[in-house]
Amino acid sequence: MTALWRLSAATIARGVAAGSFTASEVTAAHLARVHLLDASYSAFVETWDERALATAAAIDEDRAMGRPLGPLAGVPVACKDNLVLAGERTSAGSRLLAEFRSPYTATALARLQAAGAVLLGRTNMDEFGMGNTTETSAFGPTRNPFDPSLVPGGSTGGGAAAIAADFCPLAIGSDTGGSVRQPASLCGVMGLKPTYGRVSRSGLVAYASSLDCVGALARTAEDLALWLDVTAGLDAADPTSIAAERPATPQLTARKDLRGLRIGVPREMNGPGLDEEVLAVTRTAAQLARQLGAELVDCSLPAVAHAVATYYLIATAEAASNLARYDGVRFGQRREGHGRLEAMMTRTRSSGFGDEVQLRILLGTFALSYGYAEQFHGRAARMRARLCADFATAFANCDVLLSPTSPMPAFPLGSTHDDPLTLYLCDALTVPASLAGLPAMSQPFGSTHDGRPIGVQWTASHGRETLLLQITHVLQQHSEHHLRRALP
Amino acid sequence: MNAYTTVIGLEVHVQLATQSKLFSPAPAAALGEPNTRVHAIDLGLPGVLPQPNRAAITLAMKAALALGSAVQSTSRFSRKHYFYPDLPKGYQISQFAEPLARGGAVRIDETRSCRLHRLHVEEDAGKLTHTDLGTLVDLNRAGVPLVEIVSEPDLRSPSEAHAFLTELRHVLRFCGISECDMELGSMRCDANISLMPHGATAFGTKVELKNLNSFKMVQRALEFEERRQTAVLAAGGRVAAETRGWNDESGESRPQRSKEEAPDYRYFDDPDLPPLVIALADVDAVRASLGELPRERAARYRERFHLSDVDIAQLVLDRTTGDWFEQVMAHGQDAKTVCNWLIAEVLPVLHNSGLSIVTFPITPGRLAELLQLVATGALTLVSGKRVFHHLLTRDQSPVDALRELGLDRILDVETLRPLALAATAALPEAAAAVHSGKAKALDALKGHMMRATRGRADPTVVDKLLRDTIAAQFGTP
Amino acid sequence: MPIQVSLDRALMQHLADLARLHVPTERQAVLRQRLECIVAAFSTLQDAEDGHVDAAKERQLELRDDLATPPLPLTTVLANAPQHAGGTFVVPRVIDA
Repeated sequence: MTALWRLSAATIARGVAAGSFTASEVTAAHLARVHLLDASYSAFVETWDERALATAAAIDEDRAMGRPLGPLAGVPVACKDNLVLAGERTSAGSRLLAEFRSPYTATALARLQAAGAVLLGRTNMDEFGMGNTTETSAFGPTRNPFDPSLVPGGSTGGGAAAIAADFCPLAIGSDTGGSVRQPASLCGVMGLKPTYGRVSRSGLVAYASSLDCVGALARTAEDLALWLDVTAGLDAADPTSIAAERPATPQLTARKDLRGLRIGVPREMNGPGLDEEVLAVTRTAAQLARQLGAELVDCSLPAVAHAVATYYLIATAEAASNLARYDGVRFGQRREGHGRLEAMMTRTRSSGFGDEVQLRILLGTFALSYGYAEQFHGRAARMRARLCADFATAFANCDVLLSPTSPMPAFPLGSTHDDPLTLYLCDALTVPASLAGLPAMSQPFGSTHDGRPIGVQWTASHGRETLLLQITHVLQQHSEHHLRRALP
Repeated sequence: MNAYTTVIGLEVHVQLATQSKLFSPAPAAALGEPNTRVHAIDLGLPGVLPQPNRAAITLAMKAALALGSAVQSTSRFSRKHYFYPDLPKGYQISQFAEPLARGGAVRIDETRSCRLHRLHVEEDAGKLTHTDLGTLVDLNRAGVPLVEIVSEPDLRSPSEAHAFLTELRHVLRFCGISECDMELGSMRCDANISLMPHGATAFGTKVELKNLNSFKMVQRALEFEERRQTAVLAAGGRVAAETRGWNDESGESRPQRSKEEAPDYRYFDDPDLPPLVIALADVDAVRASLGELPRERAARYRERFHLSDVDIAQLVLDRTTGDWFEQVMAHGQDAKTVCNWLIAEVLPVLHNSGLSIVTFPITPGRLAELLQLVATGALTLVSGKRVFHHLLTRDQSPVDALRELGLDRILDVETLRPLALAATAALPEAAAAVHSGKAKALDALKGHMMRATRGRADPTVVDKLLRDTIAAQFGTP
Repeated sequence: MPIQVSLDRALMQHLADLARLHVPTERQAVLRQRLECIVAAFSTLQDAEDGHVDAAKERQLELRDDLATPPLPLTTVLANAPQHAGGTFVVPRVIDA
């Protein structure tokens, strides 16, 4: 029999419901694997063993008593450290929140709990989501399970590593400018960023409010569909949340091939400047899609050229605002300032936030400050509108867009410290969908000559997560990239 | 003789009378033990998002419509950033570039009014108490909904500023928008004042006055500032653009900060809150729910009931008083009489007891009944007032009350005849005087009978019975 | 017209003050580099045509009913407080009060 930690979420849920194994066995197997191996990768900041085993035991009891089980009953799930869970610590990778405990639970986690998921622990991340290597975490970096000398990507690096290392079949993340998709690509797993608002942000520690999306990582499209169905939908606690579409799971197998599908290949996202091996993998995906009946069409998104600058102005401006609440008054690790209020606030923030966070706050403060706000933040907002218009034009002529997820495969830890600009360019292919609020997925589709995973990105128009899941599901039925494991 | 024209503009903050806060479901009562009216949203905890309150928007729209402001079809919430321990998120959610309403006016007197610049919705901050231990932060008030009403610089004297505030408070209270209590902080006011030579068109340098905690303080602070600026200008000096804090004890204001150090609030549209889009139909619905405004009601009373301005002012002080008055009137009474009773009897009772007229123990129907008994002569005015006070503590009809009090009039001649005989026997000189033609002497005999019946004997019956009795005793003259 | 920003020490200090951050001298260089990068990126789109934000296309604010729910218990309110006394959060005394 396959080890329990190798099973997909859907297989586990079916097995627990059928009595093939218990939720307690599944949970124990996953926790044992984490405790055995995670010292080398630091995917988790903390595991919630007692809580997880108690949840699993309660599910087993429900089954024994004949009570109905949720669609994710017994499925171990890793939670990014920026989703609050009542009573547990949530630190968002920050020293400032090292001991913070929330009195309430994020909607995205509450819905998982209601579906019977077993919350395993919190995973490492770049501080407040600001980074794409998971090196800015106050708790130290996470390492890529394919090669511990490499970064896992970020900011949901812990979640991506957890899936790659088979610590759990499902990891919840957040994606502001690519924070689910890019680590999924670098760790060889699937990552879904839904339409903006599709999943409630209530309880997600804010980075950039108009861009933040709760997303998930897994090995299969089926597992991501299961996750989306239990998590998506309107939430009174989030005024930007939108209603759920029809459940994706029942529609997942509606397509047997890709006939009739028009795949747009945006020139600006598939052209020069990208790693040759990365481009080759995207061509592989395009080829398979064409073999399965899809039509490839050339298209253009001119505003993509300005997407990174636009993204950084908007994201940092909102971050500077969202992070103003960390003043050492009501929560957080306070540092006294010789009995002076202003000094207390400045010392609390300067010692609590890491360098990257401080730089982004200053950049955002600049973008909003008097005399610059209109030229920078105001201009970025209009450029964003133009990018949205570009996407609308593209989607008039195709159903989905294909590009690489990341311009480069995983790189060594520490290699970008002196070159923040390279780091920013990591986001070049993921920020366009973020700015336009579009659903997008990263799917593993090959690797470099030395075995580093490479993913491709699928982007659809608003609300069409189901189409993305159908396409990736069909492709998974005809390829084995997603089955490649990092660890035995 | 002053050579300068005074130019004043006001910024007024008013707490809206909602159950819950503007963006959180915590109770909007700013009072209570510290931090006992607080939701995770009010603490600005990581991950919280605002949940906008419909009633706050509706009340703000009511305020706008009551003041003649134009409610904008699209308005937006913005973030205003500054660090202060009473501001949990490090920013206040307010409205900046696109306020809820623009324009409007407040009447100062019969001939003048002050235009309004804009009206917007924002959240209140918490309360700080400064002690030796440090500054104590209470967030009960944090998030309570406010409207900020900004006037145009149309006011020309401190007393006009006072009149503006009085009228504004009247309208907002009348429409149930706010308690508008400056002492309790549900109404707050900052003032801008500048001076310019008579006939000039360009305004002088303006000074902002803060810490004005009552209408009187607003007026006193403006009067002080008027004198101070006049002295500066008369001496050939220049008024500094600054913010000054009023100290009521010393009767002076002091500079707080100069305009050159004006803070950079870094406003931008709150990405958590989509634009507030208000359909015309919604504006119409709120306008319909607004009902009559105090000035409209006063005009109607003048027209329909021919009451004096002094009486009308009392009736339109708040909406419920006038409503109650009209409910009594619906039973067909004389307006002046109802008004007199209301002002002389009802309002003092409410004032002393703290009751609201809505829960006044005597219903409008019963008061109308009582006034009817007095009007028809079934009760004297004195007895009527006894019945009124009796009814304050009993659930009775006026007729039952006057029976219980034994105040029903005695009209029956046979019941009264022994008392007439007793009166003439007790006061034989008076009886004789009446017989000899001194009609005035009859009063003493009447008084005797009234005392014997505790005022219940019908005066007309008594008059005739006494004359008949005297005639019978002394023979026809 | 290219955007001119003088990223001098005074501007750095102003931004740090606004953000309540202390930026050591050695970090100022990195900040300046990044700001210059963004400014440069924006200079390339001087000729690019802006889009415009269409309010009619945005979603609209949904409002909740005015119902007060029980507030957090005081112990929960203060649970993460660095310093508290008598039910209030305590901070160093505000000097300009």
